[in-house]
Amino acid sequence: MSVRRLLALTLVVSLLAVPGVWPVTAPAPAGAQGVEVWIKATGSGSRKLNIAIPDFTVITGADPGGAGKQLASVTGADLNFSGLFSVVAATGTIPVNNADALRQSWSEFAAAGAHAGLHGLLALRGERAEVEMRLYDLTSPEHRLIATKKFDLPAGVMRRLAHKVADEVVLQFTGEPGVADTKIAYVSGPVGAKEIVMADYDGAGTASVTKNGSINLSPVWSPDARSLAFTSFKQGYPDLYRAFPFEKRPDQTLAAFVGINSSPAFSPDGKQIAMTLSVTGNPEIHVLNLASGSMRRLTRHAGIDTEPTWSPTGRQIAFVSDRSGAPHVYVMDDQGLNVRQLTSSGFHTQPRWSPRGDLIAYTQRSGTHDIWVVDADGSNPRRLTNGGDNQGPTWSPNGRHIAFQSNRLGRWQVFAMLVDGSAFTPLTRGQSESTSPSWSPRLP
Amino acid sequence: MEAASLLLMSPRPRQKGPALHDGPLPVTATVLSLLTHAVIGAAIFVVATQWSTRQTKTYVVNLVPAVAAVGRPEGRPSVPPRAEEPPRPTPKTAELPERERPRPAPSPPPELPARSASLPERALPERTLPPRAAAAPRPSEKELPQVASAPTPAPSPSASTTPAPRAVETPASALGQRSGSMQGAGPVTVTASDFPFAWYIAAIQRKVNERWNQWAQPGRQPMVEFSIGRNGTITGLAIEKSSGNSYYDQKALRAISEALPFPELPAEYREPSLKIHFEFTFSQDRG
Repeated sequence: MSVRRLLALTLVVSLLAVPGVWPVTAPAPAGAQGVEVWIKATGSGSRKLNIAIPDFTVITGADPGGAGKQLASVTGADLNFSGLFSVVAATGTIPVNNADALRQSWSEFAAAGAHAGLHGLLALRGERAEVEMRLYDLTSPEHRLIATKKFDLPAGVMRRLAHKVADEVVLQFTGEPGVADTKIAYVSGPVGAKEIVMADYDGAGTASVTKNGSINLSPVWSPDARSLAFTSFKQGYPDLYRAFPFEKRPDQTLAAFVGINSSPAFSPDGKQIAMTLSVTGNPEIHVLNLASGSMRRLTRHAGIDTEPTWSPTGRQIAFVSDRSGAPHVYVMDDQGLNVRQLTSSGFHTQPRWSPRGDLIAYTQRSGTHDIWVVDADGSNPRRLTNGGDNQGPTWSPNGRHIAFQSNRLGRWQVFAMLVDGSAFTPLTRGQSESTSPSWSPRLP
Repeated sequence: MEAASLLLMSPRPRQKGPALHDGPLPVTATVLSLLTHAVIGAAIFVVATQWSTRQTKTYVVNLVPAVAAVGRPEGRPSVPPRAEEPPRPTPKTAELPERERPRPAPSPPPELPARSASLPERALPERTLPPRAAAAPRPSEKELPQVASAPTPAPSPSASTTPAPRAVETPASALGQRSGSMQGAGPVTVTASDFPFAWYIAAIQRKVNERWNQWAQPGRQPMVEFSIGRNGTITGLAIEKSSGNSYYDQKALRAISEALPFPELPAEYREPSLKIHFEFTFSQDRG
């Protein structure tokens, strides 16, 4: 009889030991079991996420200028521009410390199709402006809080608060920050006097970079977003300089050799600048080491070699050469070796390697100019622009957008588009011509 | 053989019959057997417990690369309709682009042009940057002291009205489509409540879909698995179920790797990682 009892006990122990038969056995820490959650998606996930952005709630200080409304509006414009969001328009603000009102608002926005809600709390303290952003998931019944973050800036640069909030929202949903807190530098002015100016990426808040009354061309941001290299005729010849637009600091001369000094391009680590020099007779690509001042020559060819652009790894450089006749895009390593031709049949200039490294944008001439992209291995070239003349591509730091100059709406202005050619958006407006844009990295 | 083992187990002569019904239980053998079972059972139990604690939550994402069959024109242009049954690419992983060539030996020391002797005094940049001017404000990102709970001024009449949705700029089709997810374009059904972060799954799905939309083909579809760590990096990316076409399988892996980075895991989710099973599909619903 005791044997029978033992037998029964063993049976129980054996059952306990078989996973799945007795799932409660594991003294599971939460989620320790191989829980399977099935998610079935039956539509395109590329559609935009609807986000509701009520006016920011002012919790401290007076807001005669309507900063709460402006910040919500700028944040919304940034998120629309990102191509990832569609902003659900709203009126009014959510009162502070009123959970019921908040719940009520989000419920209404959710019913109107919003998937997420952004609530900004603005504190105006004289010289400083502070924003706390709260991001909610409106698809969950309890309107789950996704993230909160605070930003603090001088009140004079209020728009930057909105850009930072927008970039944080993009980060929460994509894993990489947005590009709203960036600048665009470009050449402004009529023929005869071209100065370099910079503005927020959306064209607001222009400021001078050069003021020498001469001709200044092809600005390019350094990877730390603190300086710009450019070509200037201010000494009478096309020489290369570097400006520090956020500092009281004179321009630095980078290259002033006999002949042409042009087409600067910072290496991704910011320690070298590739450029075109014609000091040896015809235009060749050289690399200046900024720390030592040493210059090394990368190309040796009777043809014209110009317009270098670094791969994001810093190990390759794409450039333009007419060694086969018409100008095409070539790629070499950072020692000038292993040259391969990337594009053919056409007239290609202005290559720009994407920050992700997978694409190279360039300008193709066929009657007018258009922006194209090609895979970095030379395959799958495709045209992105249509209408007017389009030149001078420059990548946004996340590689999702390309800015360029176009005259399709009249005088030359800077526009942006998504990398698939959609969402054509004007960035600069005004009376003067705006050309040769360079999109800055994210500001420090 | 059988007889031999029976003989070993029981001292009784064979002719007593194979059945033990008419004799006492072979106590020694039974106890031995029970003990062995108990030991094996306990071992399985321990192993299973250990193993299961190492498992993270598992989620299956079913990815359909449809181009908004019911959608209206939005910012993004629709992908052009594919030809009927495009030819399947030949399985050839070698077609993946070679990103970097092997680095060659450094070139000989550069020869500098003659005039470059004048370069250093004119061109040498300083090694260090001076402190930034006050005119260039930078975000200090310092924490706000209790902004949310700061004393509230009496709300003005206009400020106290709760906002009302004015208009939805997106196509009206978005309205009827919410189904408990951020997916925004079709039902995403999360059937377990222990990962209640639908927005997170939708964000992952959205990023992968962006890539997969270009590559999906009819036919058997692959399934891949990977784990997402707390900081959004992934490990263990592998084909879980092959499509039978290794090139197509590689495309599925690339759809994941090119969709990186992923957002950090939700702060409220406490586990160190999240296991994902990503099921790729091809949708006929192409506009």
